[in-house]
Formats: sequence, C-alpha cells, structure tokens
Amino acid sequence: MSHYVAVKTVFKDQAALVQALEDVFGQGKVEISTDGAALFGYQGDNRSLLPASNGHYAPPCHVIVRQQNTGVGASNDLGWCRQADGTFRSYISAYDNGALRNSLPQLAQRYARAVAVKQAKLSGYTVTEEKAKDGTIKLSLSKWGG
Amino acid sequence: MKKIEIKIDAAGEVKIEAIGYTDGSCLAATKAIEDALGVAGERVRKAEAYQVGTGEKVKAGK
Repeated sequence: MSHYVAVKTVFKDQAALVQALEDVFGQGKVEISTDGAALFGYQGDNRSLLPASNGHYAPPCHVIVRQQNTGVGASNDLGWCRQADGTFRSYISAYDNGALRNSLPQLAQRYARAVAVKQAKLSGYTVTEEKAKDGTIKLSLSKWGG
Repeated sequence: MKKIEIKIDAAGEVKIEAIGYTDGSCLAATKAIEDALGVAGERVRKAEAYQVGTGEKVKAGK
C-alpha cells in the first residue's frame, strides 16, 4: 500500500546535529564535548552551577555553540545535552529563542535533511533534492529495480 | 515506479510519502527513515494502497 505520514523530528543523531548546526552557524562554530561542558551566560556565569530550579540553569552539554559564534547576538551559550535515552535536549534561553527565531526552525530543517539523506543512502536509495520557493526541501528517493 | 518523497518545510516539519506501492511493502520502505528522524504520527493510507497489481481498485471497507 501507499501512505503518507508526518514525523516529529527528535534530535538523536549527534553527527547530523553537528552538521545541521554548522549549516546554520558556520563551519568550526560547533564545540563537541564527550563528557559535557558548561554553558556560560551573558555575564560569564557558569549556568551548570546554578540551582536546577533556576530558570537559567543548564547542565553540562555535549554539543555547544558559544554565544560569540551564533552571529546573531545570542546572549548565552546554546547547548544540547545527551539524555539517558540517547536523544538530545536543547538548552536555549528564552531570550535567545527570540534572538534566534529565524535560525532555530532552520536548524530543525537542516537536521531532518541530514538524517533523511544519511538513512536513505544507508538503505540503498538514490536521492535527488529540490528546494521550493517557500523554503521546503523535497527529497525524492528511488532505488534501481525497487 | 515506487518512490519515497520527503518534504521538510522551513519550520522543520517533515512529511514522508510512499508513492506507487501496491504490494504492502511501503511501511517497511519508510520505517527506517521514520525511526531515524523521530516519532511518526498516524499513517494515512492513499487510494493506491487498495489497488492490486493491475491497477484494479478494490473496496477498502471501513
């Protein structure tokens, strides 16, 4: 049968997340920390030392874009922390969510594109890509004899 | 011809469509991609899902 399905994207592929962040913020702007590194706020404050109940608290994160590398005047470092289930949780301040309102949707799109292309190739598909005027990316997957 | 189309809009919303499948294999064809991307919502079957190989339509029922 044929079908269509909507998929809610979840960040769980670190390499694709880093690729997407580099697409948005530029090559060399993304920091990776195996054990997790602190995020710093606009006053240089270590956000992992704040009480967890504080709205500005952020745990050490495994994928980081420092505020000076965002290029759009973010006030705090942006972080993605790997959870026990392997997914990444974003730590982006409310202020920066506003400052990055154009970049964050783009990040989700670039991540989904990276994951879809990677998985399609692993599954043996040939991928062609088009971009519509409204910014939608269309990937067409076909397989010889399939 | 069987193919899969993936549309990712500017807000990052993803829609996956299996096209041309009449043999019941489309779920398997898209599952790996769905799993890699995240959490799949409800699947909506298209009319051609109810066709047999010759293109003859069969009644889907309720």
